[in-house]
Amino acid sequence: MKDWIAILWEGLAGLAARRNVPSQRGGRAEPVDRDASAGKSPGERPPETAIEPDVPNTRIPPLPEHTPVAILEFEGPPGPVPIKHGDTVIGRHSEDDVRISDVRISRHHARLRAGSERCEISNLTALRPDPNPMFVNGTYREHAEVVDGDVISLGGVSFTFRKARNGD
Amino acid sequence: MSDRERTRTLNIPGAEEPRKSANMDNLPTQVIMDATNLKVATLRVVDGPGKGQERPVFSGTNQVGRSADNRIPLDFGDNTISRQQHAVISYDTGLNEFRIFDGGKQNPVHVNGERLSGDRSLNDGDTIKVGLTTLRFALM
Repeated sequence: MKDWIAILWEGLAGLAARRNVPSQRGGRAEPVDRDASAGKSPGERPPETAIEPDVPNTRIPPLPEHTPVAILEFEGPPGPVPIKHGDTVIGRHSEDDVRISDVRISRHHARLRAGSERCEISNLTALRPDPNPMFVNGTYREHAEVVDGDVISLGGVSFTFRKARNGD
Repeated sequence: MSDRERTRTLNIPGAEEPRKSANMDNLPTQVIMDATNLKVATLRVVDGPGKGQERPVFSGTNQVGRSADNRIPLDFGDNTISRQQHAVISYDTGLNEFRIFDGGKQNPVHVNGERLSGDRSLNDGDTIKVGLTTLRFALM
């Protein structure tokens, strides 16, 4: 959300000052100096209507559904795994969204529901006669809200839940 | 101590060749404290640092690795064995069948001198080589 505001603000400031505000985010293409490329001295600026079509379309942020909401940090493989908005199934099966190739983990072990405000995890084996345990910070849970830094253990395989930083 | 140590890669011919990873989708999840926890076979170390030691194989799914928390812990200081799941041995009571799965780790697994690719059945008297350790598989 902050991203959008920052980008909008940058765009407005750029238009008002008729110059480009340096991007606050790394990795983005910087717009070229239009005056220099047009062979004009910096003092002469074309009318606003003329520059409008030239504004490079590089400021479109990724759609919210493609931005990682959280990261699951595993010590061993699969390492750090970005989590998108919505439901993520964690397990050993090849069809799972996050696959952990360890026989201690159930084939479909847990479901992480990631929203922009809160993230929840449920043990998908909880209703079985012999559930494969899920621990959040060492406590047996069937369902739990998870926050940044929580350590989740599925059948003995542990990982840390990290909330992705957005807007800075 | 050996748990924190990195696994050493064996310098053996063909070690870098890609292996077919075992499909473990149909493999039941390992349950340490199974109601029965039945010992169905043994693995005896016939060569390597743990020579003479023996490990039971349980009914169900058995993870083989260097860490003590594996169901079949090969924790006698062979650092060419991966800490977790170097291989998996399963026993299906319904089919009365043993299978061995490659854990896809650094060093390959050999069964009767043949490099394991994916999984295969395991029979009485087979030899399994993981890292520098050779094990003999024997039914109970």
